[in-house]
Amino acid sequence: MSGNAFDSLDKIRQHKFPGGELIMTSVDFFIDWARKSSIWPLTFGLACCAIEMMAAYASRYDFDRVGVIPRPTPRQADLMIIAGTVVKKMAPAVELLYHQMPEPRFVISMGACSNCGGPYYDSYSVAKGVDKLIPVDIYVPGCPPRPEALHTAIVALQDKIDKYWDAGKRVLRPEMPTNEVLREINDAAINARKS
Amino acid sequence: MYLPELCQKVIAKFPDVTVPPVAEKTIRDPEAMVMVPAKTLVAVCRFLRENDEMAFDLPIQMTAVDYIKENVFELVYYLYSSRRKHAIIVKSRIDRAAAAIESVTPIWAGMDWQEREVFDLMGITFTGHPNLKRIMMWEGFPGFPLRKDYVHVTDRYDSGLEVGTPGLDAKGVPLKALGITGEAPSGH
Repeated sequence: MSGNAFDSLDKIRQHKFPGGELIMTSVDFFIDWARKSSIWPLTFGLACCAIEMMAAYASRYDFDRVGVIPRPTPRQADLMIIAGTVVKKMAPAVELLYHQMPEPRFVISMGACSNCGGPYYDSYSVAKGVDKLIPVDIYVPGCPPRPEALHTAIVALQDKIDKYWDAGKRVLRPEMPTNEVLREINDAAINARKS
Repeated sequence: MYLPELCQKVIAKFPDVTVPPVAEKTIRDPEAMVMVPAKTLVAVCRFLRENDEMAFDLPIQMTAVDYIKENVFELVYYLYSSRRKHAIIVKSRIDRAAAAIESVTPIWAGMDWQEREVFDLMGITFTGHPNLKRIMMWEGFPGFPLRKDYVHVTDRYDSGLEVGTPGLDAKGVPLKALGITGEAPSGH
C-alpha cells in the first residue's frame, strides 16, 4: 500500500458502513482498541490506597464497566496499580511481579507514597517512589486518591494505549537511567542546594 | 514518689530495686513502676510471674528508650496479671556501649517478638533469646534505625535528597571509609 493510503487511514478508521456490520480499520487500531477496552490489573495492594482501589472495583464505582477486571496472577495482567507505600523490603517482590507480567504492561502509581515516598520521605525503610524500581505510566496524586481519581487514571491510560502505536510504529518509552546516572543527578542537586 | 503496695512487696523481696520518680499529679492514673538493675531483671521477672500474689501472666509489651545524653538504654516492660487484675511497669537501664541484657522470653513466651523488634530497631542483644534475628528490617540492613545516633545510608531506592547528607556519618566522615555500604534488599 502506498504512503498516500496510510495517510488517509486516519480518516476512515472510525468510519462505519451503512447498516453497521463492517468496520474498516487498521490492525494496529483494532489491537489498541481491544487492549484499552480490557485492561486487567493485577490484584495487588500495599497500603490504605488499596482500600480506595477496592472501592473502585466494587459496585458503586464499578470499574468493570470500562473493562477493568482484577486478575489474581501477573501472567494474566496488563496493568499494575501500585496502591500504597512501597517499603524497601517489599521492593524486590514488586519488581518480580512486574517482570512476571507479559508485555505490553502498564503501571499506575496511585497516591503520594508510591509517587515519591509521600509522608515517609525521610524514612529509612520506604522507597522514594515506585519509579525507583519500575517505569510508571500514570501518576495519581492524592493521599489516598478517591476512586474518581483512579478512574481518571484508567481513562488517561486508555488514551495512552490508544496512542501507543502510531500508524504501525511502536512508540518506545525511554529507558530508565542507570543508578550511576541517578546518583550523578542527585549529587548535582545536592550541590545546587548547598550553594 | 508513687509507692503502691505492689512496689513495696517487690522492694521487700529485692532490696536493690528502686522506684523511679514519677510526677504523679501530672498522670491521671499512675501505675506501679519499679527500676530494676540489669543483673536482677530476670530474677525479678521470675518472681513477678511465679509468685502467687503477683501472678503477672500477661506481658502487654516491651520497648526500649535511647537516652543518648546519659549514655543509657532504658528497657520498659509492661506487665499485667489477668488473675489479680493489676499491672506494673518494670524498667531497667543498661550501658549504651554494652547493649545487652538477659532475655525474659523463657519466662513469657509472648516477649519473643517484642525482644526481636527491640533488637532489630535499637540493636540491644538479648542473651538467652531462642531466635534473635531481625523481624522488620531485612537481613544485612546497615545499623539500627531507632538509635538516636543512627545515620541513614542511602541505597538505590532513595532519592539522595532526604534529611542529612548522604554518604556521610554524623561527624562528616565518608561512610565508605568506615566500610559501610548501602545495600538494598536483593532480588529473588
